[in-house]
Amino acid sequence: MSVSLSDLRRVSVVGVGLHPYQRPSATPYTELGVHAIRAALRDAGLPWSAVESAYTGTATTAMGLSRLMYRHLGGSGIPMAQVENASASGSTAFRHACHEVASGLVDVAIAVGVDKPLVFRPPRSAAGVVDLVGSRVAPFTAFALMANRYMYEHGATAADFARVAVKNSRNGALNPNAQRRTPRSLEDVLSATPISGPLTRLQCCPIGEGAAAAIVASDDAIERLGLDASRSVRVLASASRSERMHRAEDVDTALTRETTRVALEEAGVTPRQLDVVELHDAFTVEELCYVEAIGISPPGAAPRQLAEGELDIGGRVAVSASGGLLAMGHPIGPTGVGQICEVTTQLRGEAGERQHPGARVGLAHMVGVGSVCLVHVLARE
Amino acid sequence: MPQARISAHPTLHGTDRNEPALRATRCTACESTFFPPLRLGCEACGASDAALLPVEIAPRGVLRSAATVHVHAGDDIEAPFVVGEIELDEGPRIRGILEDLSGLGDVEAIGRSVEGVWHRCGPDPEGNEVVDLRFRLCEGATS
Repeated sequence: MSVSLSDLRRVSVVGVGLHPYQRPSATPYTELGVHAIRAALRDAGLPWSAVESAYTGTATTAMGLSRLMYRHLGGSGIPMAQVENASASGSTAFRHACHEVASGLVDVAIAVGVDKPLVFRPPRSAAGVVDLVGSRVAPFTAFALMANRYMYEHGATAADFARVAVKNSRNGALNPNAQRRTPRSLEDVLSATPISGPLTRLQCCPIGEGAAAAIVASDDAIERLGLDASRSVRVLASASRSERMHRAEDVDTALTRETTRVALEEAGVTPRQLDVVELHDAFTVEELCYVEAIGISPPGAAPRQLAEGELDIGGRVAVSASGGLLAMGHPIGPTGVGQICEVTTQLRGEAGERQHPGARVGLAHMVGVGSVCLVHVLARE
Repeated sequence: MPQARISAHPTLHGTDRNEPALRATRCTACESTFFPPLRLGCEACGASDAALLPVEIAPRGVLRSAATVHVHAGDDIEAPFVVGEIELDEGPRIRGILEDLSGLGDVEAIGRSVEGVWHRCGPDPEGNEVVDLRFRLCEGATS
């Protein structure tokens, strides 16, 4: 019989930490990762020796990179493994850490995302798959096609997409860990270098480097180790689905709809109850398509709701309060764990200038090429 | 004079006939059609390689989306150019290069019928004419 996370014992995020996302530099990945891990341990009030299992979300740095990083915390002999799932690598690492605690195999596990943009090797060439367009279609063109289809179906305008980047740049400017910290006007975004279709450079996320860490623990561990239960954030659901043949609509939108439905059902939460949402806004159009697929906005209504401030910090639901992939950045492995850090910080009420008032329920969503989709629902109880 | 017409992607389109055609796969178990051609097993129903039949299909369909590309990593085309997402009459959703949009904008062209045409890439060292398959809007057609 299969069970879901909600059938197992409670698992909560007890500590989060980040290394700021930044442009590629000479900083070793080990330094990025150790910085984030120490921050998460400090935040939780835990020694490294309390961590029983480690999952490292990483995709673009090097093979088998975990131990060379974790040894600086003091080699404790714990199980460790890399989790590669493209853009969703960090989300998947977090999922496995949650499962290991929820199942009762360990009491405390850590999910770390770390990457430097060194190696990008998509699987299609290794699979021998060729098509009519080849390298003439980069990811941003796939999403430019999504954007123009959205314009055709809903009568949206180029400014509707650009407003996503305006909002997320405003949020990112308030986030000390964001790679892009300059607030941009509608004019800035629309007049930036054209990339593909309606997408300009400022509507495409920066790929840089960084690290993020999230420590999860059982209720037993919280009590036994004397952790601050009032700052722990419960993981209500973890859902993960992969692409099937969808004929009717865009693949990533359909996959988001399906995965989110599974996660919200498991969590016993409706889309209207979400207070903070971190989603895969690698390109502006995605935020509009995904808030509709999640059920936050009715079909075609996202541009209007965005323009009216409903998706702002302080609005009906804060979407990408961190700045999202567009402003906080997308260093690949860290991104999904970084979302958990942001949602946790928001639900604790510790997000400072970018705090969404009264945040109680949060959702984190990532898509990875392939395609795969990961959704987590968290809540302060 | 060119000696023969040679396909730039022989696994994707043949040049045996004058009319452009796509090399696709049809699953004899579930009737799904795939382009690019599929080997090893059917994505829709899981039938084995033995059920997968090579077929030629017409490069005709309806434009689901289009985007003018300014930045890309290809080495055989100069930007800007237009990429189309096409729902082929035979089933598969594919992407191809559009020759031109007859003065229409990307979004205005969506919903129009398109057809494949040979694009001359130039001669190979033996003087054969190398061709690639691109798409154009069907004249006067709307879907």
